[in-house]
Amino acid sequence: MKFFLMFFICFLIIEISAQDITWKRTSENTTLTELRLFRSTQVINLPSAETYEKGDFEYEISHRFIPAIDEKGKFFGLDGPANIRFSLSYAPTDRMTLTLGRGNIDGNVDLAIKYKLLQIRNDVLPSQFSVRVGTALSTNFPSQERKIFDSDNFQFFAQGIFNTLYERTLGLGVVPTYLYNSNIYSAERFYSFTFGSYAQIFLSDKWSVMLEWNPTVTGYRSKFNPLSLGFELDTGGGHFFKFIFSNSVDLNTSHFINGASKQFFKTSPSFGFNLTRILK
Amino acid sequence: MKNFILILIFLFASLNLQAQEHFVDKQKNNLVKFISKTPIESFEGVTNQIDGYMYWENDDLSNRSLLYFEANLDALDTGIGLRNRHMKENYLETFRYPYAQFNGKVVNEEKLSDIKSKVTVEGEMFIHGVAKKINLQGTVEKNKPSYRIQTEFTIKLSDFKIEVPSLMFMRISEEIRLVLDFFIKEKK
Repeated sequence: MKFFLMFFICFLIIEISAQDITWKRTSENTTLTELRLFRSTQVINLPSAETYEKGDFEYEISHRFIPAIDEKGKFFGLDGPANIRFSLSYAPTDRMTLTLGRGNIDGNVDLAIKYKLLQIRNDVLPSQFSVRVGTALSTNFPSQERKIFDSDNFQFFAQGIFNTLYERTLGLGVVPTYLYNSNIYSAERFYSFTFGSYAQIFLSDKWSVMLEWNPTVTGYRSKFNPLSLGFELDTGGGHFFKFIFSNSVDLNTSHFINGASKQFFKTSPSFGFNLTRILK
Repeated sequence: MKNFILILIFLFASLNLQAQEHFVDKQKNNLVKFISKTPIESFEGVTNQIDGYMYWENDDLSNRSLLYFEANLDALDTGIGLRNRHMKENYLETFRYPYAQFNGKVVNEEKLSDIKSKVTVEGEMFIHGVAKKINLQGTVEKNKPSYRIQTEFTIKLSDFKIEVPSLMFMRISEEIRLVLDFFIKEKK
């Protein structure tokens, strides 16, 4: 009887302890990848907080057609003339992007560095914060009195970029910007402080719509606050097509920040596009 | 007293039977690889981030067998950062389903040699939030305390509700070959 009792106890121990699995996932098998809220490094004219992966190059060709879309004989403004920008970006690290660009207005060349400072991983509102600082030089200033590297031809800008994304569908951002020497044509040194904001709704993995507003809070503004809307096609291979309607026809940061020359609602907006491609 | 000693002996013997849980040995060169082949473009993605356990009793891999393995899809690398990003964000949706998981048991062990066995495994594969029953065959090489597990099999992306991207720059095969080669060792 005692033997059976012992046997029963041992059997019970085996049954209880066997298959009592102790394995647990460890942090070694989890990867904290960089947060990705917006898909592209810029929305329309304002930057997003995104940076690309280390080693990525990005090439940009953008146009803003100066005639309004309803101007007669200009085929929706596409006959031009147009403002044009080319730029090349490089990501030396996962969190840093360097950009060298040139626009055809005044031969404005700009060099900017963007760095992602903060990522907040949150299930409801994941967020990130980047800073972007840069300088611009107008190399074709139409005056014999100034040399190319005259200090009056230099402009400096600094931007803080805060992005968040709700339900992976609604991207929101604010971009306070400071621009020094806003109007290079003036002998006086102006500054501009703007408080830009934008929203981007991601309708699918390819299509999204964008709205961007960049009001001047204080300082120099040419005439009006730039208001832009557009849609974006992300082809899935690092190719972004952005089609834009805006009262601003400026492209380079130092031009765009100092305001638009026409009103969005009282006149027709102009058409433009940004094409970007990641190169490896 | 005699009975007490007997109980102790039985207890010791029974406890010895149970210690057969093995964990993935992360010090080894583990490999999880997928291969996508299309006439236009072929590429591979690899990671060494596999984890999990295998349990059996009495040196018989199919005896009271349990196993669970998971591969970290966020760690997959295809060699191109942008392709990784699109694959994870748009198709695998790793922000929501970060692991490919297999949960099952060894149902048959066929000795191929003193150290190598061919095993048949039954279980469920979880990828992209979809579970699918699957039977696999592989080999287990015993070099105690280490065991090497190797298997190759094919899955269909549509079985796991992964849409095959059709647009322009990325060509992914509907059928993906998976190659696993990893090591487990006795739990310490």
